[in-house]
Parts: sequence; structure tokens; C-alpha cells
Amino acid sequence: MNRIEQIFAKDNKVFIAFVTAGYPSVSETLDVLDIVVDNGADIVELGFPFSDPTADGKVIQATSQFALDRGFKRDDYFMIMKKFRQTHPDTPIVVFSYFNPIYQYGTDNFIKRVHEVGGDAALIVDLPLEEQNDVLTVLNKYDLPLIQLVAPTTPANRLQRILECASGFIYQISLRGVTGMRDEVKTSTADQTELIRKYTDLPVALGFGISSVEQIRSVKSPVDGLVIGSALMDLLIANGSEYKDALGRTTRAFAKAIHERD
Amino acid sequence: MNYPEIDIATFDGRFGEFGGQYVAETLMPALSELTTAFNTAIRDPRFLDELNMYLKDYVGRPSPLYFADRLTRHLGGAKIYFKREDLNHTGAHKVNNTLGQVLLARRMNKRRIIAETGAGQHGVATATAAALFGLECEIFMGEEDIRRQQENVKRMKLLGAQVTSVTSGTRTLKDAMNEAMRNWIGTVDHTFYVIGSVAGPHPYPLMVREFQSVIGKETREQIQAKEGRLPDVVVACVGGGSNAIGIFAAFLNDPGVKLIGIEAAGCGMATDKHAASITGGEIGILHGSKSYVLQTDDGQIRSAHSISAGLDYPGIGPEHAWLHRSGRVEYKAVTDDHAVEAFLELTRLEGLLPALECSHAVAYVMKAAPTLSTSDIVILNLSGRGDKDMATVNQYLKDKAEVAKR
Repeated sequence: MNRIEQIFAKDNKVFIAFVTAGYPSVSETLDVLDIVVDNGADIVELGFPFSDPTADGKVIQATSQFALDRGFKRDDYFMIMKKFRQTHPDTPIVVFSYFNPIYQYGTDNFIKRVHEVGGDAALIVDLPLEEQNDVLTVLNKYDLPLIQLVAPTTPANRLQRILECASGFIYQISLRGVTGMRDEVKTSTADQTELIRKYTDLPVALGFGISSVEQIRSVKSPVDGLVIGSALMDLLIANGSEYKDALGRTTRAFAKAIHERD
Repeated sequence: MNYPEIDIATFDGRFGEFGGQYVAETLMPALSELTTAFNTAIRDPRFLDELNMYLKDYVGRPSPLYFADRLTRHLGGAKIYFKREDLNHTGAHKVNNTLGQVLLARRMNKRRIIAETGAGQHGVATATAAALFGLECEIFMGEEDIRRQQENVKRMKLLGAQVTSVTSGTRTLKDAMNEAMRNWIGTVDHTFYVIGSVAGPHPYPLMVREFQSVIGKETREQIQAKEGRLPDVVVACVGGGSNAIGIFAAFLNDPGVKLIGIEAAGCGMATDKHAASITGGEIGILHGSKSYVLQTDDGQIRSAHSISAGLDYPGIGPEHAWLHRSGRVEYKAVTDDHAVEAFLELTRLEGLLPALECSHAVAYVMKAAPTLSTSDIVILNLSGRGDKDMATVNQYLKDKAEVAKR
């Protein structure tokens, strides 16, 4: 079993924490990752900052732009992954990126580096099914899954085609919109989760908009895991250099809500 | 080289290796719905009749092909014709496309229109079409552009559009487009996104090309009627590239017609302050399609610079990438300085105030025409009028005078 399979094989639901690489700085990203993992996150989704994040809301736009303004470079990304892997041998790392930074480096070069530094999967937010061929070929070479996204707008026949190409786990988008905190996440995601399970045995993680313990409790039961990103990054923004306690506390509360039995 | 015909019914959105649909999964079903709706509409005589009626009676088409006699004599070379897109309602070629897309939106029962805009020309043309059909309209515009283009902001508001200031990234056109895409991701069920150039994911580059191709079709007939033959050279400015595709499309399979696209070289190609994606960029992915893009070694999108807000964009439509790669169209770049000189000279010589965008193409023609034979025919797409650029040009001249004084 690989690292992702091992995590989902456990009895409890899985907490996937999104962290923007380079925020608030390259070295502090490692502190942030330590805190979220030490306080209960099971999988880390490491965001590659991009100048034009069209699928992201204000919080991740802000953390990404901040990292780039501070001079974040591609090598920093791999350095973070490498160091994290040394101290956390069992925690899966999912590469989260837009396609251009990967394409510009050369898909082969990029994925090879991901493999070398101990990455476990890639999620490319602007690379839908129709554009995946080249990337899938390279990922297969290194036995790395491409995490498929399913949206509330995805019709059933398309869903089936997406799931035929899926590996690792399925990322179910909870709402029509970009990433970011919402007061309410519709609980009607359960119908689509059920449909997904008709076509695949892979675990299903739900993400986008989840930002409170109450929401976690209301949406978690049909799925195998939850992704939380903006709510964590917003804490970093709001607390400045004093983020450590707040981040630890909130992560712990999220982890408890995700891990506890219904 | 014979340029392959694009069959709308079967076209998959790929111009060779360029184009595609690099967008979030949430938008894929909407793009598929749009592709189907467009393919049906563009072959439906009722849709075309209605569009053509509006182009004729509302926009004022066909736009004239004007022989620039004084300019021709002044330069002492090729005969120069202007395709007068500046005479369209709203003052540029943009309205050809926005009317087509808004009519399509109405056909698809979308009640809300969104669009991005840089200088405000596409925003005004979209707000105009939305007003004409009584649809709700929101225009996304970079904070920086709102500051520079107050008049167009006022026009859009008068037309009933909501103008939303975009404060992310460089606060210009590319960020306005990011924000429009984000908004569309959240409103896709009832909202139609009107993209202003031959950029974006499929079917936009194809759709905008079709709606703008009226420029080339008219030009071809008009030059045949006036000269009894096709031109030797067709020149157009290129930002995203919609006016250029519009006029080039009718001549792609005429190897005797040389096609030239003029990008914005800004402060010069030796600097990093330009907007020439083909001349100075690399292949990449921006706003849903693969094409030439201004970017860093790390694949971050660089900000563009041009005195002309309409060319101030770090990407270019995928069909242009293909036309460049195949060698069918030659792309060159003209600086801010030369564009402003051409703006001033054309105004005095012909009484025509060209938009700063097409002033780039005018500058090229002024340089090239004297080297051509007097029997050669050059057609320039005068894609818009320059009234909107008065403040920019005056500021530029003031800054130049300051520098000269020091």
C-alpha cells in the first residue's frame, strides 16, 4: 500500500489540509506544515503559488501573491517538499498547481522532481479530462496518481469518464464557485457522492468552502475525507507572525470534528 | 501554404498544438453547452438574419474601405486603404463580437452577461449589447484601468452596467479576466461570459473569429470592386488578436496576400516593458488556452506594458500562435514612441484619429509603404477611433517634453 492508500485504509475520515507554499515565507511553510500535521491533518496539499489563480478565492489569491512578491521560486517548492518528507515519512503530500508552472518547466522535469522529493500525487486545477493525456503519461511513469476533480456541474456521463481515469482519491467540489470560506455549504453533495461511488471504489474527499466545525459535521458523513484550505490560510493572514497557537488550536478542532465518529 | 479550412461543426478547439480548454472542471459543462449552442446558431438562418440586421442597421455595416490618398502620396509607395472599423457604433470592431455573443446568450436563455475589459472598449460594446436586449450586465475592470479610463467607466454605467473594480494582481486586463472567470465559475447556470478577444478556452477563439470575420469578408469584396484584385499586404494590430483574425480570415488561403500582425513593443523589445507575446514570449497556458505568453522561467505570468490599453495583455489568441508557427502570418512589434508618432501624423494627414491600438499598425505601414511599388496595395484594419486616447497621448507628450527639458 502506498501512503495515500494507508491513510484512507484507517477507520476514521481523512483530514486534508491545504497550505500555500511560500506563505508567509519559505522557511515558515515548514513550520506551518509541522503544526497542521502535528495537530491532526492526515494529508498535506501543497499549493504552488501562481500569478493568475483563476479557480481560487481571495484568501488563496492573497497568500499566493504574497509568496510570489517575496520571491518564491520553483526550487523553493521542491525544497519544502524534500525537508517535509525527511521529518514526516508517512504523511502524503499532494502537489496542487495550475498547469503553466508545470508546463513551463517541462512536465517530465516537474513530475520527476515531485517523485524525487517524495510527493505522492498531483492535482492540477486547470487541467480537465480533455487536456490530461501528456501529464497522465508522465505521472504513470512514476506511479503517481492524478487527482481527478468532480464539480457540482459535472453531468453523470462525464462523471463516469472522469472516474475511469481516476486514481489516488476523488476530489469532489462542494459548490459552484472558487475556493474560499462560505457560511453555508449545501448538504446536497450527498447525491453526487453516491453517484461517484457507483463508478469507483476510490475514496472520495469533499472540498471548497468548508471553514467551520459545524460545516464539517454537516457534510462529512457521505465522504471519506474533507479538504480545508482557505480557513487555515486565512488564520495565517489574520494572525500575522503570531499565527502558531491559533493555527494549532483550529487545526486540532477541525481534526477532532473530522475524525470523531458520527 | 494552404491553410486548412476550419469546419465549425467538427472543430475541436485545437489550432495545431495551440488552443484547448485549460479551465476548472466546474466550467467544462458550460463550455460544452456553449459549443453546441454556437454551432447550431451559426448555421441557423434565423440567427444569422437577426445578427446581420443588427450589424447593418444598428452598427452601420458594412464599414467602408477608404483609399488614403494623401497618406499614399506622402509616403510615395504602395496604395494604402483603410478598413474603417472605427466608424462602427461604439467606435471599434468590438461590437461585431459582443452583438453576436449577446444574441447567443439570449438564445440560450442566460439572463446575466459578464465581461472583462482593459481600456473599456469591449466593456462598452458588451454593455451596449446588453442594454439593447435588456440583460443584466457586470463588467470586470482592473482598478488601474478604471483610473486611466474614466470616460469609458462612465459610459458603461450610463448603459446600465455594473462596473466591478478588480484589485488583485497587476490590477489590469489579465486580472479582470481572472476575476470574470472566477465570477463565471460561481454563476455559470444563468450567466453568459462574453470574452472580448480570440483568446480563452474553446469555443471562444472560434466564436470570436466567426463574429469578427465579417471584417475580412467585406474587405475582400470591397477591394475586388475598387481594384479588381486582391491586396498584396493586409496589416492589423494584435493584442489578443480579434480584429486581426477578423480581417485575416478571408485571405488565409490566398498565398499572394501577405498578412502582417503588429504587436506592441512598448518601451522596446530589449526591455521587459512590452506586450509582444509572439515576438517576445514563450509557449504557455493562460486563461484557458495554450498559446504564446509573457512569463518568467518559473511559469509565472509577467505583466505586459503598452501605451495602448487594448494591446496591454500578456497573451495572444491560439490561432495567432498557429499562424505564426505555420509561417502564414508574419508578426512584428512597434514601440509606444512609433505608435504615438503615427497617431499624430495620421491625424494631420488624413483627419483620422486612430485608436492607439491600430496606430501600431499605422506606424508599420508608414515604414513599409515607401519600400513597396506604387502598384502594390496595402490594406490596414483601422480597428477603432482614437478619441478615447486623447488623455493618454497628451500625457505622453507632456512627459516627453519634461524629459527633453531636463
